[in-house]
Amino acid sequence: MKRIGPLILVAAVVFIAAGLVLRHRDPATAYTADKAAWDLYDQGEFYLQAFRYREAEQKLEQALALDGNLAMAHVALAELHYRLGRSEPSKRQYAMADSLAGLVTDDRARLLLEVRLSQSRSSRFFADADSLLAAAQAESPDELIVLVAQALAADRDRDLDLAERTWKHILEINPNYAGAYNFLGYLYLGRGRYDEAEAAIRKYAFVAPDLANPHDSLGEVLMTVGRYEEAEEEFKAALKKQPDFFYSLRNIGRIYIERGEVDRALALVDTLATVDAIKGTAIQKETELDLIHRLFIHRVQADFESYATRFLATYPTDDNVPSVRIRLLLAHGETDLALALLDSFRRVREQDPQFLESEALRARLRLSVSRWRGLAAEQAGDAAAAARYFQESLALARDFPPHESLFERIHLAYNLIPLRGYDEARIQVREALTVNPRIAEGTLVAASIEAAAGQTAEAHRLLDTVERILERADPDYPVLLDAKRLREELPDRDGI
Amino acid sequence: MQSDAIGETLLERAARLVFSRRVFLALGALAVVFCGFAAVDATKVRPNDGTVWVLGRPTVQVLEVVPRGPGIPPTPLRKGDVITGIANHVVTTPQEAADVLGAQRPGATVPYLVERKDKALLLDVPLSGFRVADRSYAVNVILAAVYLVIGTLVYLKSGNDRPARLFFLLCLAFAIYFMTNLERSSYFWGDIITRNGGAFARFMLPALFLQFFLVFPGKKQALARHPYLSPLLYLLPLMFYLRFTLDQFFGDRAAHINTVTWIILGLYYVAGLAALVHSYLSYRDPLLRERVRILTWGTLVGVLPFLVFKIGLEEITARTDLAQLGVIPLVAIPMSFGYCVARYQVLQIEFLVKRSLLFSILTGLLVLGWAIVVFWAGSQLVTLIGSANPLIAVGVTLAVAGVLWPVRNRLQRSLEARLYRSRANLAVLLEQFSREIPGLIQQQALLDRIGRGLQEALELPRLWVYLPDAGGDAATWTRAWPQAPAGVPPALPRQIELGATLKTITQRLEPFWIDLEDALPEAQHLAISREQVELAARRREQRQLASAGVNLLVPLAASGRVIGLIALPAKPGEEAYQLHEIQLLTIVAGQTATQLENARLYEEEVAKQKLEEEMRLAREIQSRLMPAALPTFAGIQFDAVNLSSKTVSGDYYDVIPRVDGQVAMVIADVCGKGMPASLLASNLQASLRAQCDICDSPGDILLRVNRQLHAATDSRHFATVFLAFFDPRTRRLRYSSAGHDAPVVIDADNRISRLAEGGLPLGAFDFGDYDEGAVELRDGDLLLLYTDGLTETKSPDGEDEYGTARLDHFLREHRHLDVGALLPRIDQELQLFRGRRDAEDDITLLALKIAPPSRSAAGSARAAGSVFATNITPEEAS
Repeated sequence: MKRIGPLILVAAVVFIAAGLVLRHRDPATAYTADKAAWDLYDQGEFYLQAFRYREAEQKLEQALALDGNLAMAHVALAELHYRLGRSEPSKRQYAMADSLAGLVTDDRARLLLEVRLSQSRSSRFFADADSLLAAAQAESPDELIVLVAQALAADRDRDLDLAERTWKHILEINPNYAGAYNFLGYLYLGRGRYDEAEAAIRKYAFVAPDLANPHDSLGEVLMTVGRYEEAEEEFKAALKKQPDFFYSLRNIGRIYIERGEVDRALALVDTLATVDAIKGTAIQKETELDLIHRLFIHRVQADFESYATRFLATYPTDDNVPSVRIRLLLAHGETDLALALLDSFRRVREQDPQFLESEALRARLRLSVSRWRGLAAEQAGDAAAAARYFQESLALARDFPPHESLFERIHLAYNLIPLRGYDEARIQVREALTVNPRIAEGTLVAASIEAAAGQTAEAHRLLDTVERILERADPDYPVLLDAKRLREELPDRDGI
Repeated sequence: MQSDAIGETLLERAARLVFSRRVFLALGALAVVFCGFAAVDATKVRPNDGTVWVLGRPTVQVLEVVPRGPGIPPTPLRKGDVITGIANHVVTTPQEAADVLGAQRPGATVPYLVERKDKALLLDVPLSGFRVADRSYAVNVILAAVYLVIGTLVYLKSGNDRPARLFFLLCLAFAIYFMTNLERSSYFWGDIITRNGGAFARFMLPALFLQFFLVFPGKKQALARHPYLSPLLYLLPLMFYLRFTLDQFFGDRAAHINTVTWIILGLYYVAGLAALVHSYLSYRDPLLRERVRILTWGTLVGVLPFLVFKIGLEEITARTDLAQLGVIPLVAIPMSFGYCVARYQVLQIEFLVKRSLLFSILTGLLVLGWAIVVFWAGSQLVTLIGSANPLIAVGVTLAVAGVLWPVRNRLQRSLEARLYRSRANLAVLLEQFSREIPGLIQQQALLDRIGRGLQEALELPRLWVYLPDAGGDAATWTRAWPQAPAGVPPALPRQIELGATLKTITQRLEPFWIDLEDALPEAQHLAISREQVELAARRREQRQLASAGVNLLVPLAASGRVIGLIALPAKPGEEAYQLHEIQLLTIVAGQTATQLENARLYEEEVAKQKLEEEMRLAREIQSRLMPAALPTFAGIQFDAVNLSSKTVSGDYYDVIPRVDGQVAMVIADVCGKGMPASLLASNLQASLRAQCDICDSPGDILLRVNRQLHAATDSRHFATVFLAFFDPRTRRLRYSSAGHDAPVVIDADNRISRLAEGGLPLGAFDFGDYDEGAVELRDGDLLLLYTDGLTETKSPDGEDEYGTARLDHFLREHRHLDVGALLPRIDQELQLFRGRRDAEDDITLLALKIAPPSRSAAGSARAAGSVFATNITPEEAS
């Protein structure tokens, strides 16, 4: 009995010592002494990753109001501004974060901050990104910030294997790190592994049930493989969870265009343009660019010209102006001018330091050039040249996911018809339709191949498919009109 | 050889450690903690998705879908589903899944992400809330508590013998069994511990049950002959348990105990019951049979329904509605054991429960209050520190507990002092005893102090202390305290018979209650067997004790022997002796026994010292009796010696020169030893000397001295004397002997004659004549006077005596020696004869030799009573 008191005290000392030794390092203390500020930053970070920019901005500014020296909040705010296309505010925040990095006394915390900053060109640490990342990997190989930076760097460098391994490793450490599923999903999508992409995104949706982004991401995957109705449901689910999730609105618009519901899509985009939150932002610009691109490839001439012209007027100095102009010229049949502009565009791009640094961007440029040339040749009626260019761009796109070469395949197939390359054309079209069986153009080209090859029944069947895909399309949807025209030209199913 | 001895010792040491009381009590504490954990875990309602997972798989795979009760929607999960997410958490291991599931609310519907046939599905799973939280579990808790309490009490009381240990383990196993009698669920870590512990208890119980009844109430012969059978009993259950454990991790279905296993385990129970019934039927002693009957019935009543309803119906045929009928009767086992222990062995268990209730409640409240203060203070401190670390929080709380512990102790002591004055007083008394007893070396003073002290402390009207009869009768005990009987009747007699009862007491060396029922007069019947005879004797003795009001006998035991008994009456007012009073009695009895032994040894030592002193004085007196110097005559050799033994006898010799030129030679042997003999010898010497001065006749002198001696002493004190007058001129020797060993005369021709004329020993009778004899000594004649110590010298084995024949032979061999060399030679001879054996009696020798003409006649004068060196060889002597 006498010894119980001292024994209890000894046990107390042991526990306290163990607690001191094993205590979890609180990251907050390294960056700020104000716990409330840290909590607000944490919430802001969460909203930022959830694409809830308004709430994110609110929380981050509240955090900075409590502690103006909270560097991490500045970084997050900088990223937010960047995403919203607010270049100057973004640069200011990065500059602030850069200067505050030196105030972080904890070496490890400072290193992590610098790693994060080095992801952005606007930071002075960008130049040291590789060395910083290497140092952080040596110091804290399993720190989430380091691993994310590593994965993003790998993705940037097109080292997709490393990127995939890194995202998986992150998920091993924290199986509920929602953002990783999103990145992984897009990585799988980018590697053409659509089932895995869907599974990863579904997990993303599962672990972040309150977020809109998972639904949007899932919708994108589904849309890529032609599951438009399911994709539409997902986009709507995203909007239900976050009514101002404009990405989903844009994606719904994309679906409408793919299904030939152009008027509907345009109405949606016009609605978007009236929303204050995205007016004048990069989102609006991206939306319009995407629309222009789709209208162009779907040959919705009038609307394309209208929106393209408006874009040029609205963003006269935008980097994308040359590509819009090229499209316009091609749409007007001015192929020589279009090619000239293309060359000029290419030369300018090739001088850009970013292009000089990135093989991926150079590859993309080459692919774009090849495409444009193919389109130009197609426009000019030179099927052989067009086929050659599209063949070339296919070769250039061999490292890209299958869904990013559908355009090439379809156009290659289309240009092989007059060259009687029916078998090769069929192969190309089938490849495209395997990825996305709901591509109306692809199916139409397939019907054209069969028609040209004398396979009337098959041609009719394919035309039936086109009509089914476009059952909701606008009556003047070009692909639908082409399909009708082809059917009229074809003998009937019985060969009469 | 050496290494074997070492291995054995280590093994024994290991076995002693494993079977030590500490280890078993630690097991008991562990079982209590486990039961508490199981109770908390069991009563906690947890969400359940209706499936069972397996631990060892890398994924959370559904192995079994558990049927749900009425009103609960069925689970959409199916066997084979791999659960990858629960409640919007991705889970990769069963433990993660259990953690996430555990955080949900029972009754909620929770999204599950599952893989089924390589397809990812999102399912809404309704969770039910379950563990055993119904009334039947309360019954289990009560049963477990009964087993734990009774098992622990019996073990604590019964010592560390094998049946007690087994009973204790059996009770622990039953308690664990009851506390883990639960439904299956998905694997939470608590469930893992509970199920595994429960499974272990289920498997080990039957083996423990069987082994217990193979050694209790009597050890079966088979087990005694083949001790390896005991561990073999556990082999099958262990294998079953291993299989069960492996199934949990690697099996393809949830771990469970199958029908065949249950049947085998059931057979163990049946075998245990058979062993018990066999023991019961084999007892002839009606008293023992009576005790075993209660145990037997209790066990049968407990186990048979268990076999039928619980194992037979529930476990094998899955009928659960009657399961409680198999569980509740199990309470009969500990109750019957507890009753028997209380009834026949330990009455104070009952007292402890009754008397300590209030104290227990108050102590419990004190502990609770202390705990509340500790936790409150601890939480306040943790908040102040601002640490969220759980280890630091626990450490801080423990620190507060440690600081407040002395406060709790102080309050507890106040409580004890207030509620149990007698306990406090007894502690003080014990302390006093501990101080005083070692100083009480006198037996009576010791018993007086103990008796009064206990009587006062226990508030008894009387008590008695009995010691074994000094006369040597082991069955008879004499009252040592109080010396005078207590005035209040009834009182115990001074001597009582306790032989049969003592046998029982000696076996256990513990307080022994007088079984009043046992002490009641019984119907007369013929006692035939030895057990019945002993039983009858025991009952008789206890009746005597009971009739005198004795209620309790506390043995005074030292070195495993009962050397005394404290007999106590019942406490006034029919109060019972409390446990701490029994403890006090036991401790005091132990101290008293030790001190009694010390007192006995002390008295022995004192007596020994007294005897030694007496011997010393006697020796001193004796030494003064011998003449300082012997007379010298030309041509005549005189020598004398007194060879002392360890005990001083009444031997002496005297040589008295007379005025007429004769020399009176006396050799005497007074009966007895020590001081009385020495005094008598002194008296005799004085008388003889006085007579030798005035009387010329040895016979007359002896006659007169006989009368004097007889008048002065009693007939038990007598002496043998040889008195001779020797005229050195004429060499004529006139003598008379009073019963003494006849001296030897050996002449030059080696002819031996003995001087035997005389009469009876002096002092024995008041009559008798003493004839005289005479002999003319010639050249070379040797006269040897001796006491019976010489001829009665025993051989080393004690079977043979030196005797006169050997003496004659020796004298013939050594006649040629001068007396100065002869006497040492005789001593040497006797030492050689007796070997290592000590001399039992003094030997006195007086020799006279008529030297041959060629020799000098100087006699060696030796100091009377001296013992000379005996390593002089005959050649050296010559």
